[in-house]
Amino acid sequence: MYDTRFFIRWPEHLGGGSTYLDLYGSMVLVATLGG
Amino acid sequence: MTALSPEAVEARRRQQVTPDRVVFRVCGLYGLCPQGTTVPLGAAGEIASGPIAVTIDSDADQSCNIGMIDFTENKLKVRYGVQVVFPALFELASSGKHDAGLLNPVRMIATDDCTLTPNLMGWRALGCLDFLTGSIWSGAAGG
Repeated sequence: MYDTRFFIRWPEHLGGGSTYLDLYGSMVLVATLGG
Repeated sequence: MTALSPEAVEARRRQQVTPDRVVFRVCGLYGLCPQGTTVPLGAAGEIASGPIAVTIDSDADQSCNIGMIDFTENKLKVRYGVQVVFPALFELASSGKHDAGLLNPVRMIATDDCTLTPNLMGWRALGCLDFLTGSIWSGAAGG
């Protein structure tokens, strides 16, 4: 399970500004190499 | 250095190696942001996204959907491509007021620097997002 906070800057042609996006969910990870 | 002998070879074979770092591929993912966010529309103002859902971008390039876990540092770094949908996207598409070609699922690349949870079953992160071309929000980024 992951819990990530993103900070987003909007381009000026959209009006600029920024916001936070908090995303949580799940990933399936498959190991490929170790060492 | 010890001489290579049958015994030395067997000893090497029996030696247990626990990797400190593991490289992985992301084979599937989903993510949710139930509270959503406010997204700008330029001169048209802004709109509340509604709950946001993301899933793995199967068309992401080769640099995506890979990562590495460093167990000695309790850190994980992952880069993944996602497609994003939310209710406002459908509202915009169905309004007929915007270029429908820009209202496909939004594509983004996320790069997360993560700290593993104590039970190693997950992580918390501060992520960087880059919005790919093809949507109204192309060019947005952050970290």
